[in-house]
Amino acid sequence: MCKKPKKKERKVYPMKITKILPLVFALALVCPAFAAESPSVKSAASTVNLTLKDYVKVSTSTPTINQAANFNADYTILEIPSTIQPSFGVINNVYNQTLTLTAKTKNNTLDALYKKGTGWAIAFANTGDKNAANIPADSMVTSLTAGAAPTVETNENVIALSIDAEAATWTETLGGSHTTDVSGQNAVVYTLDPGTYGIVYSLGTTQMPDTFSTHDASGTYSAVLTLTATTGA
Amino acid sequence: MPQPNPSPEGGGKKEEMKKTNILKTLSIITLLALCAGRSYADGEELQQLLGASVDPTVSITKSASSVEEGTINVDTGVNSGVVSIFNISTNGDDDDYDFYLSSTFPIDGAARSAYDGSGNIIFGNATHPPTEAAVTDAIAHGTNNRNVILYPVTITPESPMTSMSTTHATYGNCYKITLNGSQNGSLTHTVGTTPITNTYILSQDTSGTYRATITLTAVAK
Repeated sequence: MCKKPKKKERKVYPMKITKILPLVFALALVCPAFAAESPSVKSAASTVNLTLKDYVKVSTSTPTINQAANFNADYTILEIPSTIQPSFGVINNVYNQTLTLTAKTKNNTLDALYKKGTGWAIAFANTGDKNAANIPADSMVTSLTAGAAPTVETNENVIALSIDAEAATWTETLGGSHTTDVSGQNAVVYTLDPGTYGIVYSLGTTQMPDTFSTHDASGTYSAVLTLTATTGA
Repeated sequence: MPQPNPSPEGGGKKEEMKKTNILKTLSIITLLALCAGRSYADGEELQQLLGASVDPTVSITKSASSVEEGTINVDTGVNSGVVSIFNISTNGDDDDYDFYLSSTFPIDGAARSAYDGSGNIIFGNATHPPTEAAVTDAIAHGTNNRNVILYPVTITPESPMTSMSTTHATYGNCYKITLNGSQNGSLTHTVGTTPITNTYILSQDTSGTYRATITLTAVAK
């Protein structure tokens, strides 16, 4: 007689929390709602950039100034009837924009602006329009512009006038401001903030000491004053 | 036939088995209930849960079609045109989420919304952020607003979504977007090309990058 096989008794173990937890973690991985991620805030951002390029414009309302100069009876004092006032306009949108003031004479070949003591001067050279022989030698110009003490003999056909290169009249609008660097001998450097500027220089109405005498022949004397914008930062 | 008396030992095993089965069942029910993010106490409710309940979720992305880089004409302040496009995808609705379009810009001072509350967006110079005074002046269309430029803005939600200008405690001036039943759609944020009067002034607005950041946020209710 076959014996009915005994039903195998299953062993029963109480399910422990240590077995449930891994299951919970596994479910969290596959079931987003079970996961701990907070669905409360979600976002996307778009950063928009508009580029404004550098801009600086330098202009002048006095491209040419002609004055008929007089002199006293002894030919020792030059008399300019009205103040020569070259003026410039600057529009700038760059911080630390530099502007350099220079001057040239003798057909733009030699520096004409120079520091003299605590001030500045500009040398005018005979253009030779009456007689080419009146065009000064380079040394006659450089003897002045190097800043040494002049004598009338060492600057033949060259006459110098003072210029307020450091203390010109500045009109600054739209937030403009500037600083001035006068450490150079033949140039003044200005550093500008963005803004709009008007700059008016005034020249002396008589000559710098020892720069006018009978060594200076009649004719036209000229110098070219230039304000140049260089690289901004 | 005499029935065998259940021994005290056999009765204890049965009881233990019973307890264990109950514990197992409860554990499974709890796990499933947790999986669905809700608690259910009996089997009937559990059936409903497995058949229908899905929590709301949302996805917000910036479209690759967005145009985020542009240039400003230095003479006129007119920009070349920039557009931010966002895509919304959700299985929820307006009862599940609030959608806000907010914005920021570089400022030398307390952060504030780039929306001025009058339909314009404020761009600030990224290198030389504008002062709060300059921003206030620009919003008033004054003439003393260095490094701030305002442009008109147009929000175009894909139908049937709508947008409404509002003020929010967190986002300040912003736009609230309403889905109106939509579950997939885009939102186009267009910056107008012509600057608001007096807010672009050559030589007052420094060269460089002018920036605004636009953010679309879904907040679960």
